[in-house]
Amino acid sequence: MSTKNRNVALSGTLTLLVLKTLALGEMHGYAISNRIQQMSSELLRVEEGSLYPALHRMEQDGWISSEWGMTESNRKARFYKLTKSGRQQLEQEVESWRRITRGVSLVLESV
Amino acid sequence: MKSTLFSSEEVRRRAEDEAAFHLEMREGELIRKGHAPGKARHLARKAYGSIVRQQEQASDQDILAGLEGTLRDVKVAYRRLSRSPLFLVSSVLLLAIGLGVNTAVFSVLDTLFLRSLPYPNPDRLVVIEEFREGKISNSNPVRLNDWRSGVNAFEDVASTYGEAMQLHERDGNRSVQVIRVVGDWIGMLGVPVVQGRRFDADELKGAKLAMLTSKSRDLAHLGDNIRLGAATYQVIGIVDDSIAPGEDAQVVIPIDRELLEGSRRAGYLQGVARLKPTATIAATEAEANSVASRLEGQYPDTDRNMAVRIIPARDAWTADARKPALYIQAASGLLLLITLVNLAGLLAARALERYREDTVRLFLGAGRWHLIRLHLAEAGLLVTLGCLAAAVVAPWTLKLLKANYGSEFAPIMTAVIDARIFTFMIATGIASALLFAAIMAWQTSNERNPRGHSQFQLRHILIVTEAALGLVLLAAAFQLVRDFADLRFAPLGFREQGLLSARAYLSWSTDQKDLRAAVDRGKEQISALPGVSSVAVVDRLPLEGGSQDSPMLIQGQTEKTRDTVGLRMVSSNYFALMGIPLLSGQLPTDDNSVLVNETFARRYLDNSAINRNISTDGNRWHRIAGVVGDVRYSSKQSQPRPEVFLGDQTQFWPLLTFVIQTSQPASALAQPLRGIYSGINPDIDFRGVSSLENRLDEIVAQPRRQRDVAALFGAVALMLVIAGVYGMMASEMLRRRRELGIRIAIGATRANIISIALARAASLSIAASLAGGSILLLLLDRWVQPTAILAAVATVSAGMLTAGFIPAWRSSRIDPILALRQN
Repeated sequence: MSTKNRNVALSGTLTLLVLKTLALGEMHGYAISNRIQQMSSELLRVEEGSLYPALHRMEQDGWISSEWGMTESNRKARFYKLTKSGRQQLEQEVESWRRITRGVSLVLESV
Repeated sequence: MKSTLFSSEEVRRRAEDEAAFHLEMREGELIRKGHAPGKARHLARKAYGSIVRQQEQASDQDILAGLEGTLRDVKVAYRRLSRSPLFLVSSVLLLAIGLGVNTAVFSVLDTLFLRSLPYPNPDRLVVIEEFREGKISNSNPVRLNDWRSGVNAFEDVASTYGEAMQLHERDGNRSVQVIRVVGDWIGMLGVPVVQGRRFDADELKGAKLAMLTSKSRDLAHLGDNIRLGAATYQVIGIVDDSIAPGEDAQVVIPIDRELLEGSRRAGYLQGVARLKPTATIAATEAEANSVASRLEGQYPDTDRNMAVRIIPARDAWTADARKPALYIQAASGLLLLITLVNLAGLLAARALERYREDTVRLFLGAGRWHLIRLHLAEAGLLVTLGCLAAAVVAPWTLKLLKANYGSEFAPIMTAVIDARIFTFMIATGIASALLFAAIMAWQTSNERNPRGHSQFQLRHILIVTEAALGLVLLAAAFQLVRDFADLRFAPLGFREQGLLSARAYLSWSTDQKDLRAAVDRGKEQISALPGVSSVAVVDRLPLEGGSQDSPMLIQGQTEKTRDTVGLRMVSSNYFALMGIPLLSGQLPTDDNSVLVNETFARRYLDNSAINRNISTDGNRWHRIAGVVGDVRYSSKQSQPRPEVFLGDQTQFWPLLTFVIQTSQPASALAQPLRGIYSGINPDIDFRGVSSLENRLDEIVAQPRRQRDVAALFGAVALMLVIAGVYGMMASEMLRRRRELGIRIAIGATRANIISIALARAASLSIAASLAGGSILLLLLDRWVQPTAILAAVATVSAGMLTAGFIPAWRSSRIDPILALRQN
């Protein structure tokens, strides 16, 4: 799949993936993108340009919060974590996603 | 739920931090994977760059959003600009000067050279240039007639000459500028008759009728009789001012009948002709030259070795202005270039300042084109303000040019700011500013190295270019300063102090007897005035030029001298008066004896001139009585010419200058002189009396003006270069803050830092000197001497080093802790 197509598919679901990743624990931005890549068995790659705007929007919407912390290599970085409304949003998004994919699969399978 | 948790400042800083962090992490990972550190950095940024390109494809789709975006960009640009007043003001000033001055200059050039003459079918008008033995010479009414009748291609031939005459009014005399027409000048050119009528064919042969120019219509009414000089003329009409564009013509009268049939030797006219519709210049010239051959056969005494050139009138009439115009054009063009280069530098500095902010915007998904649009909006706003300011500078510059050059190049006075030229200048400014801004923004978004290293290389090239151009302008200025000093202040060969000069111009129709009487009585009466010790008459003052000249025959030699020799008419006490030494022999005691100057004696007579005989025509011979010291007579030459001095009784041009030795100031003698003049001859045009020094200053006014204009251009260029270097060094010090902080922290002294910083300024000034010096030596070596080039190099280098010193000194005082922290 070319990079472009991959991104188009991803843009609507980035929020979902980030929320899910953060459900596993607090982490900084770089770790988020690495984790998504890892969890998807390298099928998905988050590009830097999309991640931070998304994080910024989500923070404005109140779904995540952030604070300064230290990385393993003693470098200062910003760590993000899910808020209560973020957990609720995660459940809603997972539900929608399942509904949509089910619908699409049904259409594709009908001959 | 949206909350505005953060101020935009915070957002910016946060996003910046995230970006830096992310890139570092990515870099670290790549290094661990085995890439070299530099490569790792490059790859990390490259990955980041490709995202941006994809983003902008998405955002370009919405046109409406784009328009809204543009308006918002302009608002943002305005905010950003108002937060940097120094940048704003300097850019606007820069544009105003560069564009405004150039608009004015090119408008004037357009008027002078490109505008066609204000007559119908102006390209059919030509000037008849007569050449004798290869040198250009003037014509007379009789020969003009021959051209008219002999050359078929001419529809008509006419000419004019000007003289100052005394208008006798009820309450005294007034000097007016009169134009004498030879042939149907008014009809041929097509000058409109505003009121009344023009002279008919018969009246043109010397009738006592006159026309007034439009601007002098209040001198008299139609039908009135006016007394001009010795005769009375009836006013029959009013003619448009374009009869003499920009010049000071007040009254128009036909040439006197006697002069119409005068000698073929006379030379005071230049013929102007109107070509028939189908005639070409080349064919006409050929025809005219064959007529010249015929005339040569008919009149071997007067028309020998004559050749003719036909030149379009407009070219001939603007020839004098060409050289100064060329200089001003070149200088303005260079100034414009320097302006644009400086503008580029300013915008580059701007891009650097905004580097962090721009990086952030890119990270927040701005897209490269959005960033470029932002920069364009800012540049566009700047240019708009600059153009408005230029609209003020341009008319002011035009006024300045008119004030300085109007008296010399009359057509300038009709120049106005040309709309097309202004538009062109604006377009150039806009295009350049937008181009530079776009380039800078592109570079920012493409950045591989931190903090815009390649931008600095660009700026270095810009500064060197600017400084080289400034050097050229400055060298030209120094050269003109030197030339003028040579002209006016180098030893002239005579004494300037303690002398007054008073001009007395009689009318051209004064006969020889009256002229001689005027000379004698003038001398007699002026020396009788209190405080006057001595008076001499001379035809032309030194530096004034325009003397008569002729090749000389020397007894014992068969051929005439190859060069023409200056013929002067002076009183015998002139030399003592002016402090010109008599080197050998004695002053002449009779009409046949003459004096020659040093150069003449040395060049033609091997320094043994006394008692040799010379002649102009082989008939009348003069004995050389003595040799006098050299004096410079023409402002166009720095070396003296060979000259022969005849007595003041041989004066036959009615233009006298009295040189008066007196302790009195000029003002004290004005009234008495006026009285003496009108007593001698009611038609003398009294041109005032002034000290000799002042009069000489007047004579060299044109070269002085040129020097002043050149100096102005040079000074402005130097200031721009200094400003440019300062700005660039300041930015560069900012960029290298961290590095310098480290150096200080590990023990560099202040002197070390300053010398590191100055090294940049020094290398730039060396590069600029080489570039500018090469241009001057290779292309302009004919006009600019090495001393001027050296002086310019020294000045520009000194300026650049000084400009670089202040930022260097400031950066030597930074607190290393602060510098390191503010990364």
